[in-house]
Amino acid sequence: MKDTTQYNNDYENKWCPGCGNFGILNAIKKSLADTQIPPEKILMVSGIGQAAKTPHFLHCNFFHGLHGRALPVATGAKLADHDLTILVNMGDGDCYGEGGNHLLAALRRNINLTLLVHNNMVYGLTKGQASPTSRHGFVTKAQPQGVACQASNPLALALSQGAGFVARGYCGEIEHLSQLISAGISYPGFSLIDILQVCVSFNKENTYTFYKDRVYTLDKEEYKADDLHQALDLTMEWEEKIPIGIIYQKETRSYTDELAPLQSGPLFKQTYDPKKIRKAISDA
Amino acid sequence: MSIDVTVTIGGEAGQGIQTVGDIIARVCHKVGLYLLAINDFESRIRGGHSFMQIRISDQPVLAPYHKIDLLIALNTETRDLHKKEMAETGLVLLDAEKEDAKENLPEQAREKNVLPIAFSQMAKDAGGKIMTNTVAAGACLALLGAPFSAFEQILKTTFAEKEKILENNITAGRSGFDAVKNTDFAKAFDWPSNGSAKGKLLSGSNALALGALAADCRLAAFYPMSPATGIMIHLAEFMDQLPVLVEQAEDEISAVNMIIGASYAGVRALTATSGGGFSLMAEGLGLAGITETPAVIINSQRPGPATGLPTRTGQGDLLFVIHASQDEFPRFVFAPGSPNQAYDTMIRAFHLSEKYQVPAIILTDQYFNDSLWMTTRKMAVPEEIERFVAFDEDMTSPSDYKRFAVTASGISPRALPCKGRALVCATANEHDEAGHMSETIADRNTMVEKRQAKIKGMTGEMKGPKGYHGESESLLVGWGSSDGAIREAVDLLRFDNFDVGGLVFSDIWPFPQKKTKEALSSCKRFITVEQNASSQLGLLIRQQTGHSFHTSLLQYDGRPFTPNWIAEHTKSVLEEIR
Repeated sequence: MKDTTQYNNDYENKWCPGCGNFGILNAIKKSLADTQIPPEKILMVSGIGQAAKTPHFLHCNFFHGLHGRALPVATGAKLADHDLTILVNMGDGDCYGEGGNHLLAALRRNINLTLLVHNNMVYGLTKGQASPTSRHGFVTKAQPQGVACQASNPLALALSQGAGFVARGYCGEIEHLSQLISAGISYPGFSLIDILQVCVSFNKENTYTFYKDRVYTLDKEEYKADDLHQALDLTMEWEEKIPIGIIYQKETRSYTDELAPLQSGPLFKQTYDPKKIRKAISDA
Repeated sequence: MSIDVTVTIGGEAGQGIQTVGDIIARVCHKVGLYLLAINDFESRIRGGHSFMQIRISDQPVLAPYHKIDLLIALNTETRDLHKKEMAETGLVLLDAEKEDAKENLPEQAREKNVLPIAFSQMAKDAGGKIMTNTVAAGACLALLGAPFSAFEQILKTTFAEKEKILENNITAGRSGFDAVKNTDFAKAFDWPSNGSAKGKLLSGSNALALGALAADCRLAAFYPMSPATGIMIHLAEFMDQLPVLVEQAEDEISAVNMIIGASYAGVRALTATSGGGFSLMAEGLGLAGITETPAVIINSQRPGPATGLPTRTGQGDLLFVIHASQDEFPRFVFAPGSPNQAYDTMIRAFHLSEKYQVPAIILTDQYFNDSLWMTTRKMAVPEEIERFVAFDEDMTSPSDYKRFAVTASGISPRALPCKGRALVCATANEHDEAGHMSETIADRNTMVEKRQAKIKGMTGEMKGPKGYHGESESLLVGWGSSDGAIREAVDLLRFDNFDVGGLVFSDIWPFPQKKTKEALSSCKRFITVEQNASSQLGLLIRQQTGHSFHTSLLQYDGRPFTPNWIAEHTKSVLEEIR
């Protein structure tokens, strides 16, 4: 096993004891060690929420921005320097609620980012309101009569938008999750990994027991993940059984490969040429 | 000034008003005349009433004129709408081919100074109705006294690659030209022979885009919004020859966050929007503020909260952009008043935003962006771009790098992520020197003080307001794009023996307090001239210097100032005092 300690820092972690985020954090470290990306070559981008604090608990570069806005920041960074390896950490409210439009755009762009959504189906940081993935009928202090909306299905949404890499992980299956993250990092386009995460403080329904009874791993030999319709069917499985693994993967062309101005190398690396600019301006 | 002619071309949106206007403007520009062309249009693609007004002179033109010498009416509505603005010796060329014009023909023929010309028919005869614009341009140029050769030369460059189309257009232009050659026009003038262009003919949007290029802007993210879109469209034209990427974001919130991400990753980045989009960007502005990430944001103002008047002009966002986003953090606010100044301001904004690691906002407006201006001097491109970034080799110990290290100037060494061993940690939360979230009293105070410490250096970078007869008894004080109109109003007033000068701000925030006090020290009174309803600059001056304006001349109808309007209102104010 590769050394994961190089990603440790001494910044105090303030997550609740037993939080599903710890499993996700460990899986990230493991994946980074496995893919052999040193701390100084990683850029973590996040929004707001407990999930968005993840980068602080890692030894790496990070930009911890605004609620819902991690994807635009990450997109800007990637467009500026497409050599960067960027992991985006968001929560379900952060990504599917406040940042919904940015998720749609990122899916359509197919920009090479790896998005990890810590999906605990509740707002943790603000102490227990419903999130876009909360079950219909889920009771909270803000929704005492139960959530009246349908829960969103982010994986089906992603597939319907033409996503090329869609996966689901579980915070209780660290080894499996780390493999998903590694696959996402090596995928040359936008990868969405929705991670079932337990919130021990505010979600008493989707508990470790709830997942233990339902979660099953897609068999790599049997399930090829290249059939969109089959993938869509899998995203509908929930009540009895919940599949984890790569739900769908197809070959795509990354956004930065599509853009002509980036073909001479990352924008960051191209040289300032006053002669060329002078000519452009005098011709204008 | 021996030549000062104003030509207005009006009709429905979609009739090709801009084409006629552009041809006339380019012919005048090419022979060495000066001009300013404003675009007035409604928020629609077809129909309605639009016009382009071109003021032509042998001296630099600073503002639109309030009277029309030559009106090219592509429909009768145009003739009626602009009747009141016609100069006494003015002439209307009316397209007589229009159905409604035909019916009215006997009346029109009797009407003084209206000349019905069969523009459309001549175009059809030359090969297609589409060339009505060329016919109209020909007639207009002939009346102004232009030699046909000057017109022909522009047609040749316009239709260089299509021989048949060029031929037809020359025929069309010739018929328009010949149709009026025996008509006397009071404002016809002797055209400069062998003249050459006196400067570049550019829209304000274009000047801003070129300034961004010269500043080495590499990423421009935007969401379309009038009147800012033109800036991005012009920038996009350079994507095939320069390392610049124009990205259309899903919304303004994304656009501003994208440029923050790009800037954090090491390239200079820009976004442009109008007030409504800027409202959405306010949170992102704060993100740039607390993470100390350079970012350049253009706010091309238009009137009204919410949608307001989407295609009109105004100066109502000054106090908003100075205060936008919660809490306090330093930022630059600039308001250029001419294309050359806009170009220079872009270069300065990128430089200063990066030097101080703060956002820089450039306030322009629809009048500035959509008008065609002439530059008065060359647009210089910097030989080098000073980047103000630190790499491992600049540090004694990269592994101990702290993104928000406390310094006396408030400016911390700025490293870039993944470019060395130094880890670059930034957060929207209040933080410690290393960039980790912190809620301690000490860290909060330290970071607020560190950010605020930059204001001293930033203020030193600010230029004072530019005086024009600044020693006068009364000063007209304005900002941004009204620069030209104010200066010309001053000329008109001084011609009538009023002791009036002008003072125009291009650098607004941090407020150049000392320089403003000096500029106002000798005048007896100052009058603010602004396109908003509360004299926002006047309020700011009062707040920052204690000096109060005597009164304000405020216009918020969405149309640009004319020097005449300012001069007349100033006279009323001063005569009241007497």
